[in-house]
Amino acid sequence: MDFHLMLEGFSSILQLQSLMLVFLGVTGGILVGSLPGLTATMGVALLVPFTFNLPIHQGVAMLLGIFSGAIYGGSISAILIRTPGTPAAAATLLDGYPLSQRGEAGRALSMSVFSSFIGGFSGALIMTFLSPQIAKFALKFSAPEYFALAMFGLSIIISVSGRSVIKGIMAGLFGLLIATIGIDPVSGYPRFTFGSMELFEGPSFIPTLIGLFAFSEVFKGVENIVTQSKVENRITQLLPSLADIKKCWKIILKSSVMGTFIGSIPGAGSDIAAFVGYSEAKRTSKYPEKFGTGVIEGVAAAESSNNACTGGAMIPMLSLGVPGDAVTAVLLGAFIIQGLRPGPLLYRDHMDVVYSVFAGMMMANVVMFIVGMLGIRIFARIISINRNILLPIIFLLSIVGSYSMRNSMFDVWLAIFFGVIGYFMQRYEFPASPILLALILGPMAESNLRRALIKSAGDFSILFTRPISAILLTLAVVSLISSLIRQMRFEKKIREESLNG
Amino acid sequence: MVFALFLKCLSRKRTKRKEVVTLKRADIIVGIIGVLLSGFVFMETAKFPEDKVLIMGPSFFPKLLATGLMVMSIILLIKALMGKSMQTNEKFDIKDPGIQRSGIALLATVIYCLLLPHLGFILDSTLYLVFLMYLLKQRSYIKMTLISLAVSLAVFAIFRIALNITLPLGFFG
Repeated sequence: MDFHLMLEGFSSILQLQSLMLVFLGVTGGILVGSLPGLTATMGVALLVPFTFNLPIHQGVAMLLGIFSGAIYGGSISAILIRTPGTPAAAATLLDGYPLSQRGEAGRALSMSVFSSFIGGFSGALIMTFLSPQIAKFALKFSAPEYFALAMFGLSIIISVSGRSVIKGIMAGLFGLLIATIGIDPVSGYPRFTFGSMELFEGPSFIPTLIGLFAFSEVFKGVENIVTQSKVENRITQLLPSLADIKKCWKIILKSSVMGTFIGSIPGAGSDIAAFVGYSEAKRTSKYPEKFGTGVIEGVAAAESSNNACTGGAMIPMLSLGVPGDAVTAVLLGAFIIQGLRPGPLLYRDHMDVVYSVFAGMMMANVVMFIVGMLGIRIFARIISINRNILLPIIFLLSIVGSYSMRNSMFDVWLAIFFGVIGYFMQRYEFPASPILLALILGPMAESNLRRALIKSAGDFSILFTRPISAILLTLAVVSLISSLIRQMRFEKKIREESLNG
Repeated sequence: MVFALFLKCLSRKRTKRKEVVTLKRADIIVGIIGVLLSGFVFMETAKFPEDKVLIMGPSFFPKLLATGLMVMSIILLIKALMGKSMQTNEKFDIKDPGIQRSGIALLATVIYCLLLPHLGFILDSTLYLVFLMYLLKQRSYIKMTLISLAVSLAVFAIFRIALNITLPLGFFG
């Protein structure tokens, strides 16, 4: 770590304007994260347009604030109304909700914000130390390795999302095909543009994902009119008690480290990290049977792990240009719009920018802690906002958000189109995350595959004879096959049960 | 058009008896769409110029993907025809009021976008929000109108003034 650059990074963040933007980002992130029905991916996608016109340091800092806030925010509604605001908070619910039913909502919420902070901050620290090493190593990568890396990332997200591997692969291939729309980067030939100028650069990223992740959700949301459960808990406690911290600190530290490493596997996201952290805390506990009935350690483990995951997911995203999960894929897209292209070259040529990201990530977590702690009562009130008012507003924000990127109505139609596709995909159990990752990884996979094959004069064995690329491709195949086997076992079990029952 | 057809296929032949719903019909339709889509990609890529120097021309990667998609779609089709589709709790019924609501919301969104250049952002957005809230069974008209107007004004102010993004203007807007 370079302390001089680190100080410089902090000095760019610790200005009033940057801090204000981080504050706004965190607050916005916590809000969208805590509102049930708005996932972190969707929240970040909806808030990204607000950062378009900012200078790069500030825009990136605000984006990091949104990201950290959104992952933490999910726990608020999980604890208070038993609805995880984001999938990452599903594990927090297990013990968080029983606690709040016992009237200890404040205890659960304050532990949640505290462990989120520790988790997020440790993730950011590990990222600061580890990612430059990875970037240095990755400088040796050439085309076959990058292709293999893209395939590895895609295969992981296919294996972990959705119930059917075949449908996941189909979604991934569909996304990769969409990514080929536009001018071919190698030959300059416009592909699948059908004479439309708007498609020359490919379908714009933000409108596409607002369609897939926001529109599809609200179309689904209007299907069911649910009456919102009111929050009745009075929250008096803002900080976790010393006794609770004493009880949990080991678990928090352990989950933080585990969460970071799970996050750093391309494709594995914060929801998985949270469950792994939770089950590890349960396994090593002296009273595992009490987990699920309102044990404070459960909240601490899940929350520190899923927020640590944010730092972990940033590692491959920043050093290799391969996003760790769906949210980081959105973030990567937003970074590129800001003019910052992650990858090992960024570490070689623009170390100052890299350090401002590190500093921004740490600051985002500090601000998240302060806002989360002081704002708990306000957020608790906001999540009981009626859905019949909230959903229309999201509709409007989705439209404005897709329009604002290029001031183009074409992009709005694109978002609506992908919204309808996303709606049907969700209904028929096709996961949307592989599409998102494919949009980011597609161009990287294609150009590197072609470059590799040009180098080898069309011989595919170049992909398997180089050690790193061979290992990554093998891992990709193994992860797909193992999830296929898991799925077959699961289906067989269900069939047997339905025969017996 | 395509989606109307899609909806029609899905909603036909529903028995009233409560039964286990599988995704068989959906899987068959998606499988066919997948095969057609990859066929279309093959047709389009045939028109791409071949690159004699680079060997791997612009059609190389799309063709590779289309082959994969074709194989997967056929597997999905075969599995569906063998009765191995997964079960689901939600069936798609066009008569279901919830699904009709989604359709109306989609239609309202399309109309909103078409009217945007004519009505201007603030008026159009206010009407759109009021309509959607009504669709979602909000019935307090004063509250609806006030919130809708306030949200439209706030979004307009944030994007136009703070972020300097031009929104379509028009009458009242």
